[in-house]
Amino acid sequence: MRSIPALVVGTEIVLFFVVFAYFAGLSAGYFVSGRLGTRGLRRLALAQWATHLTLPFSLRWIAGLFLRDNHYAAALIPALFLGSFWLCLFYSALLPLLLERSKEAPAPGNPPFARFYGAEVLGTLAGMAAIWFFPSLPAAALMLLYQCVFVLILHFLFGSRPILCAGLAFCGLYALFFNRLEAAGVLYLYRSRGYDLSRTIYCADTPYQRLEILEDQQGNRHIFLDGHRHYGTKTLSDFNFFIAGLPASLLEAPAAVIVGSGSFGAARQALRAGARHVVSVEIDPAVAAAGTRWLPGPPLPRDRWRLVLDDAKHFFGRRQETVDLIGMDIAGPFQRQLALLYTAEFYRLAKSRLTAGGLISVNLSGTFALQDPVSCRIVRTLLDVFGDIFVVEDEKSSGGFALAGDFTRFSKDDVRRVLDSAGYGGAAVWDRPEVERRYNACAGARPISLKHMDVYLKHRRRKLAAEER
Amino acid sequence: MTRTAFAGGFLFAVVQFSYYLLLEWHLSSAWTSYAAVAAAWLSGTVIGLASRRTAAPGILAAVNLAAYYCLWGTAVLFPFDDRFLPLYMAAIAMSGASAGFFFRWCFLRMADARGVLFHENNGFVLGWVLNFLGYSLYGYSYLLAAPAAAALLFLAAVKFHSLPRP
Repeated sequence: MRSIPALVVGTEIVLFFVVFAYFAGLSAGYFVSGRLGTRGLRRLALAQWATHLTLPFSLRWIAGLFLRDNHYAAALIPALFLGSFWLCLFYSALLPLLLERSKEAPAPGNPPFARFYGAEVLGTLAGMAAIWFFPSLPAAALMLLYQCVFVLILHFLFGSRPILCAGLAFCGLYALFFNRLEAAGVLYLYRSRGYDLSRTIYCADTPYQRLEILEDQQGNRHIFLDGHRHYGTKTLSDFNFFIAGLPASLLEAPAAVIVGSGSFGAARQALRAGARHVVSVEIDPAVAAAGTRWLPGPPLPRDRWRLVLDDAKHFFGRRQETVDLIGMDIAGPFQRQLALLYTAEFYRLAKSRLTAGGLISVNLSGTFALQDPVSCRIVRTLLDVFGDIFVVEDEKSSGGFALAGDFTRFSKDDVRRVLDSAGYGGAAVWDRPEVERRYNACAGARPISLKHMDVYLKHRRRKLAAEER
Repeated sequence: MTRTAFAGGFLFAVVQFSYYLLLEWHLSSAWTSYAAVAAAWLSGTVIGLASRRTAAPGILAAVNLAAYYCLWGTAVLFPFDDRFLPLYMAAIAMSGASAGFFFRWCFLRMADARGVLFHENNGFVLGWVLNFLGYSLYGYSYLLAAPAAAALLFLAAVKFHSLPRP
């Protein structure tokens, strides 16, 4: 299920449908279990097994077939059915039928179903514990464990040693070919989406997202998080400049916190621009590890940089020291967890950790000049929280950025000077009065806050796909 | 009785996901928040299922609300404070236990266990969908009011079930 959102660019809406398909599958399973006998259950189990052996590769190949023609919705439907609904249906059909087959007599005040259901819940806890306590297990090992457990279920259902032996043999083949099939499936998927890539370097399902690193024909590497590209093009290098290099250049040897890691490009930009110390805050250890291991770049100086694995809210909530710069090197507010980092409440928390004259730099996830709805809402939120704001938009970066703070010690001309010297002379720069004037064309876009979290409901897939290229 | 199972699933979905959304903001978005909610809830459910006792639906609803609003109040007063995680897990486990007790209560009254699970899951799905929409559209205000509203609906469904037929 973790892989499904990445098939069609993971947003909160896609995650919603994945989870909905899961619960709908449970209901469907309970419904059909009353209509299946032992024979029906065995046939269902064999059909499920045939499906299981193709996962997760088949999801990518099927999705890729539809994505060649940009049929995103069509790509999602079979993924939801196969990867979520169909799988859950089997497990929820199983329990009631097993109970019927049980010869156990009900004890007073202790219905056998309570014990059966309790055992199932315990099994769920054990499965979750296996994933939580062994997060560094490779995907191949986890999937192999899963396949073996399924074979055991088949063995219990059929009571057949030949099926057990055949099942374990197939598990062996599955383990043997897993990495190759996975790499081929991922490459096929992204080529179907129009990326000119030549090989898969690394993939992982983390507790937060699907992480994939691929390489193109020129040897450049690209990171995809839940199907969104976060590194690998000049556009993304420009992103790092606007998020970190530009604000660090406007401050005097700032102490900086960069939220998000990726390739640590933003941290490098801040250090190059004169930051005296940078802390990278990353919630997903797998992303930080992958960025260090697989993406090019000199090692970051340990006396001027450190990595903290934490949620940004928790980090700033626990931290008492102030910093001069907070760079939000994160994706747009298209998933709920990320949207929380665009709320007025978070910005107030961040502001309380800024020195006087300190700055926060934020990606507007769209073009403010064209009244993009998401950009307008982010700008409105920043206007409400901070006294000063500058918006910078450059056509090369395919979106705008905001620098916000109170009592900033630089002017619009200073921003212009840094942009010109960095080769972004064509960028537009607006100060607060100009930003407020332009905001008036935003049709009353309201700020993002804990009271109004609907920004991820109104995301448009096409705009996101356009940003990636 | 199906209506009661449905209402129970609805209540548990609203409370369970509201716990997660509360901790996501007031504690951390790290996976440990999700793990704490899931582990505590499931553990509580096992305890409730294993217990030989049952409890009246009114008590189950009251326990859920008490646990939820205690957690809410503590999280608001002491944001981002990991020392309260065991307390949060205890509160969530109490709610999970109430779900376990509820299943036992249903299983004793409804011969068709499959029906209990089917209707309870349908109620759970509806509660989850409403939680998604409610939180997206009304945010924090929804988290404050929804568990209480869900508990009232649950009690109304149970009372309706227990009314004598004319």
